Amino acid sequence: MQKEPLLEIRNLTIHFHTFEGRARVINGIDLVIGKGESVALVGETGCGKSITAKAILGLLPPNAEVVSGSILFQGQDLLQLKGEELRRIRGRHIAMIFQDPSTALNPVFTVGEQLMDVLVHCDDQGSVQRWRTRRPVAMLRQRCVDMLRLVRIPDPESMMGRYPSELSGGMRQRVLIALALLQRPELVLADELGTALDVSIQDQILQELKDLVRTQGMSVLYITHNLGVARMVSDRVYVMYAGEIVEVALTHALFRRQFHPYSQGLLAAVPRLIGSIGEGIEGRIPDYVSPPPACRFEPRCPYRMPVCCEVRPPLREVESGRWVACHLYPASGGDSS
Amino acid sequence: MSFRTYLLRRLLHIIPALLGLSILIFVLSRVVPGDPARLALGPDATQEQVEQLRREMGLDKPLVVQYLRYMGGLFRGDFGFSLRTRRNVAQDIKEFLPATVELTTVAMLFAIALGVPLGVLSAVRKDRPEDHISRILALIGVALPRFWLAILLQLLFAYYLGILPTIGRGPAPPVRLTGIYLLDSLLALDFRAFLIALKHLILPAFALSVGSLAQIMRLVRANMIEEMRRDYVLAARSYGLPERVVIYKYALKNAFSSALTVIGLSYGFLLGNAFLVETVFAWPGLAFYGVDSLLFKDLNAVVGVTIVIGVAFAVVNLLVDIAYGYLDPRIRYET
Repeated sequence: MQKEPLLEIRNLTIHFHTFEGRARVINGIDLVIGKGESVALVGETGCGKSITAKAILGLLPPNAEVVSGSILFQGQDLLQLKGEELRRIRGRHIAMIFQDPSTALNPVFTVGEQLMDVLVHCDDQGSVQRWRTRRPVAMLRQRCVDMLRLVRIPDPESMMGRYPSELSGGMRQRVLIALALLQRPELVLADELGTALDVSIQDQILQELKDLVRTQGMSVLYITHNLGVARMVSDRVYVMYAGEIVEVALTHALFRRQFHPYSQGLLAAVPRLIGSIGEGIEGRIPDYVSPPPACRFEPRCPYRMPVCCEVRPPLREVESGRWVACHLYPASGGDSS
Repeated sequence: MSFRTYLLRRLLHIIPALLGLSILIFVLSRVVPGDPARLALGPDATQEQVEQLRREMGLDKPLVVQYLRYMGGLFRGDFGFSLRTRRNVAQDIKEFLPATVELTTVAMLFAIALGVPLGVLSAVRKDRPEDHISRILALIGVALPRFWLAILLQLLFAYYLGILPTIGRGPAPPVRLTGIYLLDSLLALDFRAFLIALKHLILPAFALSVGSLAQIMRLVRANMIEEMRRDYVLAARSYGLPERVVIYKYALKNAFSSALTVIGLSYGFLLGNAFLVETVFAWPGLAFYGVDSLLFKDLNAVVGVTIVIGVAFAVVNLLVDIAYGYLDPRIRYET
């Protein structure tokens, strides 16, 4: 069932030093992405999804501190890597598709120049080797054009000479995907892909990316607040709440039945075409400087029990392939591997 | 609106601006107290002589008639007669303008060549010692009076160290084509003369540039800090681009284009401050000439110099607009 892991996050804890004090934003999360697997990380805005992705790439803001944990990628702990080693991982092995196509492209360079820069500056080994293996510009350019064609940009040749400001949102998003996939990474982090676009284009792009990564054998971590997106593109779903993973399940299983009260609330909050708009969950994400002592969802939970503010519920396997961090569910049969 | 139409419009805007400038300086030069004819002829001249000169100069006519006459001459390239140098003002300007153009241009180049890298350094090393040092230097640069700095530079480099000349532009290169010594010596392939001209330029140009340098540095720093926070910088890093490309190519091009406007404006400050520096370094430039003319109430010279400087300022700002469009495609493609 479980595929060979490509990326393994173990007990990752990240604190932010803020004016108000130490914000415990990521609180010991575990996350595994198998080879060729598409995983969705779902949660509401501000729950730490993007921080997790940035931590993988080592692109946390300066006031963030990784307190503990490890991020193993192909057996190497990314958190132990120095600047230059990490840079060689970025883009080439793990790439990120940014969420806002209007700000993630550099406004003053053409699409072609931005693509070419990635190939020219990132594909190098040492300077000696670069000199020996330097490939002609025309060849690199062809690679860029091919990649634009792969992300279904019409007339990729002329696209190379265009500036981002000349493009529609959908086209910019495709260019961002091309930039991320250009070095054929093993793992792609898609942060709120298409959220800034209108729904029909978002669906189209997601579908295309899904097909693309499948044919290229890439693994993807989709970060989204939209359960519909998660259902469409992922094999497995991690539900995140306030910097903790509260439920892990195969996608189809999760949509059949949700165990954690937060997952239930999240699904109930989805507006449907027929009937009323969703119910929503009472309250808001807790303050990270002084979070609830045990279960972080306890203040908003409709089923809260006395134990919920005393003991932090561990993530336990309650049935095969399903982990839940909630006192409502005792571990199944004791085998938790 | 295409970028070409935009530039054309900017070009057309220059015309009313210069007209306004000419009216303003024309009126101002004539309402300040003192009689130019009396000043020119000296205290021994008789009242009749003074009156006659006034008539010759047309000073007895109404202001509007004087102005229209003057502008009529201007369009034929006639700047009028200078009472002080006893030549046509156009000739004076031709002689003194290149020296000032050379001085201010080199000063501007200094300001950009030093201000931009220091600003970037300050932004990248924000709140570290390098940043604090550059910022303190920038503050000092803005605060120091130019003439005082000029004298200090003369003392240190010319008097104590003796490695740079104290005053003047040095000997003129053998061929005079533009009057800009650096250019003339280069065109004549006379590198010795080029070096001499450069040596004479270093101190005055640096003294003149300090204010703009500090201004550019502060602006580039602020813009860079802002740009470095943007998504595209994070995205560029996520593709694995080396930090030098992210900073000096991706962020700087964005930060610099917004600094450009200020560079254009600061050229005006350079022209204004050129007088102080030209005085200290005995630099035979237009600013020096203009102020002398002003003290002498040499009306035609004052108006002529002002208009020429106004044109220079307008041209530089037009160049800035062109550069702006080159650096930032959003300007070029704006509809």
